Amino acid sequence: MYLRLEYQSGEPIYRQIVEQIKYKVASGQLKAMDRLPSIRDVARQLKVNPRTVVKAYEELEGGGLVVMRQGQGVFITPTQAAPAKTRQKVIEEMARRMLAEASRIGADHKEVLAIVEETVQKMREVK
Amino acid sequence: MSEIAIRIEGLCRDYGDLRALDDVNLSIEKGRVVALLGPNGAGKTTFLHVLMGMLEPTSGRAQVLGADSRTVPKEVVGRIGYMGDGDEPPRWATAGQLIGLQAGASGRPVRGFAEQFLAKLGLSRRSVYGALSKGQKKWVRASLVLAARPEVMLLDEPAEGLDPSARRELYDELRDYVTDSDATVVVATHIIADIERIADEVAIINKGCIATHAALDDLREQVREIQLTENDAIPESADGIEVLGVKAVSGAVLVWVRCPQQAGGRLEAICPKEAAIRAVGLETFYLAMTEHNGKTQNQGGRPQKERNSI
Repeated sequence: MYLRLEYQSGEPIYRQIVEQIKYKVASGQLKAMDRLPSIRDVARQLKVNPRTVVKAYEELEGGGLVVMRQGQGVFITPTQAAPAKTRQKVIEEMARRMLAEASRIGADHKEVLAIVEETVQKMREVK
Repeated sequence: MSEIAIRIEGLCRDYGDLRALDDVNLSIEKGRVVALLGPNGAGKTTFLHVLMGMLEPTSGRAQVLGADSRTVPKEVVGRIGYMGDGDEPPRWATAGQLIGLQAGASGRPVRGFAEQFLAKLGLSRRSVYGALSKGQKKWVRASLVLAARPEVMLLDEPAEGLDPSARRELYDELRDYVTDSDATVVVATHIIADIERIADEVAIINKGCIATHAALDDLREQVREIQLTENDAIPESADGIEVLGVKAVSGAVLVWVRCPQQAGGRLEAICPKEAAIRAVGLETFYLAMTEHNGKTQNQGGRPQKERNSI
C-alpha cells in the first residue's frame, strides 16, 4: 500500500494516513475485506511512530471503514454502503477546501460553480 | 500514559555568572524521537551533557531511565548511548578497534550490526578513523552508538557532514530502531528538514529555557502563518489563540499563530477576510519562536517555561 506523506501541509500525519486510505476506498483501489498492512509495516514504510499508525487505524475503525480483528489484522469493512458514501465524503472534502479558498478572495459559491462549469467546457474542448 | 524515559525538573546549570540552562522542565516518554532545536549557544549541548552526567546541575535534577544523572549506576550507563558533537576517537584507531572498545564499554554484542552499518557507506573494520572524511567519521561514530542497542540515545548533530542520502539513511535507521525497540532518541540538530520527517516531538531551547515542547502532529494542525497587509491590525493573543511572532517583509506582515483545535474557526474571525492563512513547516515555526517573537506576550523576548505538555 503506497502512501505519501507531506510534512508541511498542515495536516497531522495520522490524518494523512486516514485520508489516503479513505481515498483508496473511494477510488476502488481498496475493496471490501482487503487486508491493510500491519501497524509495524506501515510504521517502517513511512518512518513514523507505530502509535501514529494505531491512531489512524483507530480513527478509520471509529468511522466504520475498517474492522480490526484480534490476531488477524485490519480489514476494509465488508458491508459496504461505504464506497459510495466514502466517495461522497472525499469529494465533499475537496469541495469544502475549494470553497474556503474562494471565500478568502471574496468569491461566493455561485461564482465558483460558474467557473467549475466553464472549466469543464474548456477541458472537453481540449480533449 | 506511557512510561517516562527522561524527566527533567527545575534544571539550572550555570557557568560562572552565565546561566546556561534556566529552570528547564521536560518529560519525554519512551518510544519517542525528539528533535532538540535551538540557536547556537542556546544550551542544547549543555542540556545533553547534564543528561549524560558529564555536567552536574547547579540546581534541579535530571533523570534518565529512572536514574538521577549525578549518580547513574553502571547497569544504566550501558543502556544510554551518546554521540557528542566534538569528542573524537584517536586518529590511528581502525573502525574494528573502536567497535571492540564499544563492545567492552557497553557490554553488548555490537560487532555484527556495526559491520553491516559500516558497509552501507562502503566502510569496513579496517577503515582507519583519521583517514576518513568528516561525514564518514560521523557514520562510524553513529554505528558505534546504534550497535550497542541503547534504550536512550542522545545525539548531538549526528548527521552533520553527511550527504543527503546518508543523512536519510541514518535517520531512517534510527526511526526503524525505535519502532523495533521502543527506544527513546533525542537529536540536537540544526538540519530541521531531516529531523522533521522522522521526529515525533520537538523541544526548542532558547536562551537556556524550553520555549516549546510539543508533538509535531499537534504543531502541524495548530500553527499557521497569516499574511496581512501593512495597514491591517495585527491580531493579539486571545481566545486560546497564541501569537508566536510577527515579521514585516516587503510590503506584507507575516504573523505566526498557534491555534488549538478547540479554538478552531476563530482564526478566521480574528483576521481580515482577505488575509491568507497557510500551514507552515517546522523550520518556519522554529524561526518564529526564536527570532521573531519580540512582540508576543513573552515580555522581553524571553520565552516562557514549558507551556505545552503532551
